[in-house]
Amino acid sequence: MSAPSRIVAVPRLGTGDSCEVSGALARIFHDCTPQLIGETARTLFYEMVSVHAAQAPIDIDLVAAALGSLGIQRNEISAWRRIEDDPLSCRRFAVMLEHTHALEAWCGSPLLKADQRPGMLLHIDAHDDLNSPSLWPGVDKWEFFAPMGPDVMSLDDPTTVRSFATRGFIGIGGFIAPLIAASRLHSILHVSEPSHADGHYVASLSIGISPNTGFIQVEKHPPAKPGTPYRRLNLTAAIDAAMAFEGHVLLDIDLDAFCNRYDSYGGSTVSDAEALSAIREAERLLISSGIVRRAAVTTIALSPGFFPGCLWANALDFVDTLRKACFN
Amino acid sequence: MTPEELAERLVPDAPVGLPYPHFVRDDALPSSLVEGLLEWMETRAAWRLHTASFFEQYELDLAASAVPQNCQVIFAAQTLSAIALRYGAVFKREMTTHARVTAHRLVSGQTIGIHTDEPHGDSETHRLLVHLNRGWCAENGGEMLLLKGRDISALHSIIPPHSNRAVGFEMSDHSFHAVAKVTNWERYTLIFSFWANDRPHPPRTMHVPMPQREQVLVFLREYGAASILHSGSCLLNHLIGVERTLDRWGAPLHTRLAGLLHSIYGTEGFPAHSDVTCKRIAAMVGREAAELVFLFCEMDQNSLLDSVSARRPLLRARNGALLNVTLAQIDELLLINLANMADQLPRIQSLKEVVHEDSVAYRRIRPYLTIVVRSELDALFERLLARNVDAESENSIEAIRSFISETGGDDILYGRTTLSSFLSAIEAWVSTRDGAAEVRIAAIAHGLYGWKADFSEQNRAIVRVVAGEAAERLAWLFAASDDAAIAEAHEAFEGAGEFILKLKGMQGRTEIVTPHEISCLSMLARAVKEIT
Repeated sequence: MSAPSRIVAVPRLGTGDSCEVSGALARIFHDCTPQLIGETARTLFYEMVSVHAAQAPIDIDLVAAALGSLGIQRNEISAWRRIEDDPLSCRRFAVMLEHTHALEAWCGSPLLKADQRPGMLLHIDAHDDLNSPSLWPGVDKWEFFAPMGPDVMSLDDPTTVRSFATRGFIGIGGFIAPLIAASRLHSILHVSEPSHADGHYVASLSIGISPNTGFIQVEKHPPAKPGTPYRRLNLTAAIDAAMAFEGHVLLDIDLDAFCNRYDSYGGSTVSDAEALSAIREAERLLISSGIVRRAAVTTIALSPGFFPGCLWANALDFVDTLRKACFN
Repeated sequence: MTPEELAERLVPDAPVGLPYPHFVRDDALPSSLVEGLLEWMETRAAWRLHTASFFEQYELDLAASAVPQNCQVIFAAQTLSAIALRYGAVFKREMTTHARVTAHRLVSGQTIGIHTDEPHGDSETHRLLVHLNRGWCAENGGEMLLLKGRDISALHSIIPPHSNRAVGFEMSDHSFHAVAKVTNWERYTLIFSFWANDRPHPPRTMHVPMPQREQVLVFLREYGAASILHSGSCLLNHLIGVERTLDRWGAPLHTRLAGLLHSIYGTEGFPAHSDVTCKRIAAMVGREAAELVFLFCEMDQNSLLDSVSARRPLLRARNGALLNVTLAQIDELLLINLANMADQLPRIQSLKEVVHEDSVAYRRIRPYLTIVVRSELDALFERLLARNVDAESENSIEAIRSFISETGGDDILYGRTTLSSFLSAIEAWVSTRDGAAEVRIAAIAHGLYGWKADFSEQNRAIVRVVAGEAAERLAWLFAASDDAAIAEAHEAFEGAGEFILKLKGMQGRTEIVTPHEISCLSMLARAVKEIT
């Protein structure tokens, strides 16, 4: 399936100028920059360009890392992912650059398809990724309407999820919300800094509707309220909790959990050596605990623009080790 | 069977009195005669459509037709005399022995309204009809209706048109009759007309025989015209069609004969198929017709049009030599030329260029034509050009739609839909409101501007190739102006008497537009407003 066009035609309404339209598009299309490619008296035509292609990356190693480690060009960064299923165990292992594609990997998982009970998400990530995607609620709770265009995303149809992800409707921080909306998550265990032992933030998550946009949004409530339990734990505690869970576990790792150097909202000051050390420690824990073989789906995101490109080669060794542990 | 026996078989001893004297006789003719006549009428007879105020039917002048040998007995003078005499005995009128025989064919949809055929002047006083057909059922209609008055409520009896059924009646001011509409069937009838002695009978020369025509047809068959392809049919059919068209337009005999032979030496667009001498043609149809044939084959068609427009004989041969003609001959050549168009264009309407060229030529000389010719050709070209415009606009719409779709229009988001769907919805909106072809094309094509094409003249020229000039201009104007500009142009028209459209983002450029264009732009604006 070819990636959908990222061109958007916007009718001129009222006196709104192209700057206002650009701002609105930037709020709808995540991780994209609108570039005006043509206009008439009636219509503005924008191309929604991935931020990686539109802007010179702050991480100067990023483009070389993409090409050197994965053989992909700059404009392919946002859409790249590799998903594999073990034919014997039916476990799924997926590696991606943008974390957005984790949703597609979960939706197509053979084990999750066979057992529709809500799973536990073990989310190792510097961010909670509970942002609001640009999705309107659909007729059924596992379906969502696109913010523009006629398409519907169904969590039962991974191709629609892929299409929405590559169009920018979901975003790198909004891919968990659809699972919560569809009641497909039993609980979320969030490890924001694997090397730290603190945490224990507890909340209850539910899905509401943004009054400004009508999009679905995750709402955090005190833990006593009904909803999807959310706990922030350290890695060891989180692995223990996941191992004790009776249903399917979704092991989800964003490498920015080990080094969030280029985050525009305040990057971490972790050195390369410290980051690699933390990765090695996590690798040891994940494999020795058996959680990699326990998880129905393992998703790993390299997170360009957050996790430094200079560490991708080492990170891919980590990915490869986990993959072997998962499939062997 | 002798003529008298045949007459007795056809006509019973006494008529029925109501609603007026008439009779019905089944099994009227020997079956071999019925079969022979039917076979000939179905396959070889030269029917001619006759339309009048209360009927439309195909007619056949049997006196001028080459009736098969084995069927000629029914039309023999002795037979007709015998029938006339028997009519005298049956209807108790003294009859002349004069008679006339024609045939009628009604096809699906045709009907004959209520009428009397009231005899007046030298017209016939008695009729004998013989139905011939391949089986009839009630669903086929075509029954003969006898009525007591001029309204259908006065219906007296219905006579089904069973094959080989004869119906005879006396004509008067109250012999009301009609034929019900024919459905999915062909109704053939032989019509024998007789004259009572107390009425003047028609002059013997009432039917003008055309021995030359028959000769020409024999010649054309020998020439092989029936097997030479021409305009989707055979040459013979085309030549006969031209002659009939000329006949319909009231052309004199020599022009009709020239029409039958108009391409015999080869013309600009049709080669000769064998050597025929002018002498032979002249011997067959006479000098006047032969000259027309020669001129028609020799002339350069444009010079004919020039001659008509200039009202001077400027006719030139295709090699450029001036041809010696009179103005009367120019008019006759023009008529043959137009009959040629009228006959063949319906069959070759898919050749758009030919239709277009002929329509241009026709427009040029239209003012010099009689009303009969003009009205027929006006209707023909209106029909043909409408089909062409429809087909061309559909092609343009489809071409632009496909281009937009194939180049990503199906994925370009536009509100709650895609660009392709949005443009198609506008086109459908315009189409359902009978918008002109150029508005429909513009509805799709305006989506190219700003995306696949900017407003440069170079891009406009590319779009123009597919959309056509008028539609591209509308698409361009629509893309370059907003609703406020269109409304403002309306106001400007009311104030200053002309439409001036302000284009957006073009350094204050304005465009003078026609009332038709502003109405098309308003329609497009309404479409967009309703759809979005």
